[in-house]
Amino acid sequence: MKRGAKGHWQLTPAAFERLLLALDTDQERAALAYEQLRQRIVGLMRWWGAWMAEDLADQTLDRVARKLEEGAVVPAASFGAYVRGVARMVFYEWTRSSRAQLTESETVVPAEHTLEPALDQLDRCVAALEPAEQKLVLRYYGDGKHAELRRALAEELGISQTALRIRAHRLRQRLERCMSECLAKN
Amino acid sequence: MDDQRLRAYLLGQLSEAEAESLEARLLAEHEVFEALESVEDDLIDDFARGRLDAAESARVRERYENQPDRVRFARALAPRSARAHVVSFPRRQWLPLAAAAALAVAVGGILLRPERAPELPLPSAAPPPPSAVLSLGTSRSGGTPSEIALTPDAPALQLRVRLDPADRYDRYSMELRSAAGEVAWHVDDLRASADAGELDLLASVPSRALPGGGYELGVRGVNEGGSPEDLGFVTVRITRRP
Repeated sequence: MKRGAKGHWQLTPAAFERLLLALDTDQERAALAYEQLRQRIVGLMRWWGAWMAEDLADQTLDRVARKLEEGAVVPAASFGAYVRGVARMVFYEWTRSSRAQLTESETVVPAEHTLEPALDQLDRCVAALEPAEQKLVLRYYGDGKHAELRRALAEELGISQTALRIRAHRLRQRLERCMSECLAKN
Repeated sequence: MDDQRLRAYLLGQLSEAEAESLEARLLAEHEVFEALESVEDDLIDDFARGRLDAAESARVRERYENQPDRVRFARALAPRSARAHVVSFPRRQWLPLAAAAALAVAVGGILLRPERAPELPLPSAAPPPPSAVLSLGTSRSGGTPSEIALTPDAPALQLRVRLDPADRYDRYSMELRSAAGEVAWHVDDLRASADAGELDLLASVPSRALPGGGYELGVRGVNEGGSPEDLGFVTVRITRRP
């Protein structure tokens, strides 16, 4: 165990290795599992309303690593519930901290009249995608009855609906990032 | 994991215990997490497109007030995707329906071609798959088979099955059986679309499941916690064009 200058526990290489081992005995798969778990905790923190979700996810993983280093035994079947419990505690502590009272500079959902720049940027971002990607993302999120539209789209593409939804979500994430970055620059 | 349940979670409609259980699962199973992300995209889109009721909108507004970029993106995406989307079964372009048990068939070329966003040209869509409109009969043996011709390059057959408007169920299943009684294709968990007093089921049958010959299409409806009920049958004859 290692403590920092203010007495806070800091992640040690040994504790990190122990966490990876808990995720998978194969190093490469463990590294991937760690990244995916972190991504899921970030999502969970966001759904709980934390605006500094990435920091809180890291704190959660550090705390899980510490618990494991201290000898906590977590059955594989309970690992999700265990991490969830730690994450909830980290989130709860954060809500009581002064940092939670601060918000990001912009927390107001933009009104319709501010949408024009976003539309322009979205068009640019969509145009930067491959033609097939453009078609996929715009059709996937199109109006209409999603179930039927997406079933037909998956059939056309020869992929499962699960694969289609993942592909569409990733494209959407790329577009969201692209649009946000462009708007931030301008 | 059922999408409705995931949506209920995002809308804060699950009990604390249910939410906790789901959260543990999504931390353990990446597939569940990815499904939730996808459902979240649709929820934000519905919010941006004004499709939520007041309580749901309030919940989304509260949940995403710290993520204005996501809502702004959804608002920008709405008009763009609306212009580009493809409607597989536009009512105005369907052949008139007969009231008979087995109905005429429309094959290929009658689907709406995708509209294009003028400022965002898209590549041409693939040719529309063949399609057929069927009405159910109540007898397994009744009616003249509907003839459906499939070309070799058709990836799938799009079916629209017209139901009795009184046959409203939570979910439906559809099954195609060959003349030998073997199940050639089956789908569960369908939901009917209601429009102008009519009740339709839409499904896409992979062409590879239909090598040709006579088939019987059966539809069943089931309510939550209930037993499936047969709603009707229709016979079809598939021919493969060279």
